[in-house]
Amino acid sequence: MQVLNFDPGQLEPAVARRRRLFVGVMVLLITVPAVMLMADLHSRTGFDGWKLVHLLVFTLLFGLLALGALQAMLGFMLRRQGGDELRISSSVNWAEDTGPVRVRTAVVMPICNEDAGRVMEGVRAIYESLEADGRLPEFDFFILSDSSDPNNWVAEEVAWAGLVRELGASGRLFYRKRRSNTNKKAGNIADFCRRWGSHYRYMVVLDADSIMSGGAIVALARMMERNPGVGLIQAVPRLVNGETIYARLQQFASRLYGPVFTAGINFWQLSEANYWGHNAIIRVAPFMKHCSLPELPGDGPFGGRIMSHDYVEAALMRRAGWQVWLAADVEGSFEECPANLIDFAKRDRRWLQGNLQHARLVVAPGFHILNRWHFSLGILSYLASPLWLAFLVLSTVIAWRLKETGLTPLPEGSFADHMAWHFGTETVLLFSLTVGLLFVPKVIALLDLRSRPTEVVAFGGWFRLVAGVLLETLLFTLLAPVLMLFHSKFIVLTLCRRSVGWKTQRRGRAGESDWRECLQTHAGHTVLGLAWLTLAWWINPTLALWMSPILAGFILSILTSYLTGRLAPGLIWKRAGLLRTPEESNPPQEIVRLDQRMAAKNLAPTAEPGADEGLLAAVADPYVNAIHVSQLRSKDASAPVNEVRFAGLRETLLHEGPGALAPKDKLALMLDADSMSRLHQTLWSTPATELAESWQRKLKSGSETPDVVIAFPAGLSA
Amino acid sequence: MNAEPALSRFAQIDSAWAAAAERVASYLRAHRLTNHAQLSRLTSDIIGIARARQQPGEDPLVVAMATVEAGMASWFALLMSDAGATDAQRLNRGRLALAMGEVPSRWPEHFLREGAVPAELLQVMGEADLGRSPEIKFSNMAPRRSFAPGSADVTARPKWQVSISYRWPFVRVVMSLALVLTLAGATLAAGR
Repeated sequence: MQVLNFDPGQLEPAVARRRRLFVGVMVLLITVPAVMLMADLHSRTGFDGWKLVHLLVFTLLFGLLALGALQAMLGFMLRRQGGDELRISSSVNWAEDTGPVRVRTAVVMPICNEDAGRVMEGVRAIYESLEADGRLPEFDFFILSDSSDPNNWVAEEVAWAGLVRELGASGRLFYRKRRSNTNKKAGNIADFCRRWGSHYRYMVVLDADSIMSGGAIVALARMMERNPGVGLIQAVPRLVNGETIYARLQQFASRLYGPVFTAGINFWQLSEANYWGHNAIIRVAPFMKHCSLPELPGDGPFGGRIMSHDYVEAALMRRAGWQVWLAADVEGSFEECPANLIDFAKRDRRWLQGNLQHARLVVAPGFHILNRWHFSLGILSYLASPLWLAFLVLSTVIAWRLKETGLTPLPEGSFADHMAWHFGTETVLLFSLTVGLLFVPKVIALLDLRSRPTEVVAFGGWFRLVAGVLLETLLFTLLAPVLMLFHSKFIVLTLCRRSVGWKTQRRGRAGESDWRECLQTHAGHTVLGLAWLTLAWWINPTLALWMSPILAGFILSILTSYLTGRLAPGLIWKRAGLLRTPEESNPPQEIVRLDQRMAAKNLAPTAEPGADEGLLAAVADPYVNAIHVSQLRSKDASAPVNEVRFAGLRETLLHEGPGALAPKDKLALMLDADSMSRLHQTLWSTPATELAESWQRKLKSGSETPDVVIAFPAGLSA
Repeated sequence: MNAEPALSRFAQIDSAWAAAAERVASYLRAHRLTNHAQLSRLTSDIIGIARARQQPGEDPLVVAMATVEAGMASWFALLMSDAGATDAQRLNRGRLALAMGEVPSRWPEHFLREGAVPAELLQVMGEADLGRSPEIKFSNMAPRRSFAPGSADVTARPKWQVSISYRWPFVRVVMSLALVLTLAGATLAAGR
């Protein structure tokens, strides 16, 4: 039964409190017996400091496990009843509310050194989807570039101009390149807000790889319009376009288990949900008023710029009294994920540092208790790895001490005796409880699909679905321990104040794993696994057996990381229908069009652009030069001192070539409209013999290949 | 086929003018003028005009390219309403319109030619641009100084609080964790 017209503005705080109390009590009810069992097991051989720490680490990890399983169970039960009545989508009567939204909304896509062709195709898919729905007049598009590489910058401009031409989107699709990348992505959005924010009531924030259907965007705008007290609605992005086994594992797992989890999360988050940084709609005015970010005191990695800005922005929005909701049931929100384990870990390192920074904000004044909980969970999601590692180390130490002391479990003196449980029974019980909680979400997700037969077909049928779950379980059993080592290492590095930079995510064939990187990255993991296995075997073969799934992950890490990150095996599995998702079986139009266009692009032969290809094209090519100059701020007159400097730089650039200039000088020239126009004019009027070799080559290539002057993969046709 | 017949004719007369003609042809090709007959004709015409304009001592290449530029500027002025624009702005806008409207490849016979042009070409040149972004209305979204709500600034808090929660946040986290661990340990010990 779907309850329509739920009014989030009338949501009683007591309802939220009751739900959260229920979740807390349930987590305790699941966790406490397990902790007591573990405590009892330890008490049978005598408590000591090692066991106390072991028990505490176990308590924390088991609590997190219980929370995850509980969320899945709650989500399952809510979905069986037709969904939670207290969800943001229930606030709109979808059958009747079908008219235009009639408010101006900006669709903003911040980018930074991404593949320009892929970015523009993503924008095209969204634009065409809105156009097909007849909703285009309500939306403007902004591509907000922070690209620091001149090649990427010029490629973006050329691809954007081509897209504007092809879509007839002049006056609706805009491109802006920032001169200085202050505060990275958060600063990029803030810069948009400062310049154009007052024109729009809402903005839909996307990532470079985000795809949203027109229907999803309009649905988000409609929910915002219906609920004037809501400041932000986060849609759940589904992972798509994975081709390697690793990427397809991620998208299969998130697609299968995601719906029950997100429904469960909404149960306790309600109007204090979180922001994930993209695929969300934001009310611009309160965002501008309340969500600008300060720098944290001190230097990186814990001070300075806030890296994971999204959680903080949600917290600031909530602190100002605006509700933040998770729209778990909005269809048509997609993103891509890294293709291999190493790239995934690199992305995690950035997120990890950002989340650890939040430790400072857990106790910052004024935040809602649930936002503090979000900060803590974000920290714990990565801190769980070193805790797990500590748990394994402690288990090994305890087993070794047991062997050294020669103690055997006490036959009595335990509370479990009242239930006639022996040491072995308790061990098996605890193990079953832990494994059971790990498997509960999987079983529940499968049960959830029993009432959705069309989705089962879209997953490839029951056989493929169950096979997918088994494969996913097996592979994640091997991969998770390696991620644990990555996270633990990253936390140590972060605590040692080793900061991380921003690396652009590699996608498609460029994102494939390679042997050298796998060997370099995982050699240490393999050695650790072999050493640990030897030690565990020496202590007690049973211990080695218990730890074997984890140690196998370490030992096989080179092989699993390499194979799961390669395209060929991924495509074989894809053809066999393994790990299939509904988005693969019945791809949405937006994804189909994106894939077709990207496939056509990838077929076209393209040469890797040279180091200064962007600058060369922006000067030499009349069209690229015109596009580039049109995007620069024109000034009435340069300060004389600047003009002298620029004249010198132009001279050097033409006569000695781009290599003779420092990167900052090249960038300065590219940012000066007058210099770029003059360079174009002077280049073409200068005899070849007076030009640097790179210019001679550039002009010659134009003469020899009359149809192709722009040497970028994207060309003028985005 | 390319502009070679035109070039060779000039090459016999003067190698400097041949180089100038080659550069002009190259420049026109860079505008995606791929119709070779038009390319040859236009190159010849431009070089003819340039030769007539050349002053003693002037480099043919410079004169030829200045002629191309002047020709483009006057052609753009005919087709586009841009009163008050400087030559550089007009040239830039014009080239942008050529790119967006694919003019040289769609109307090679009219490109840089005097005389009547098709209405569609006129429309394309008038409308083809990248669009103006909405007017910039600067709003205040200055970075805040701290997370303290309202005017209360973090630096106004007691020094010991600032030290613990902001300067050494992990000390506080570790202390909190240690407190929890101690309490839990004490509870367990008491229970035995």
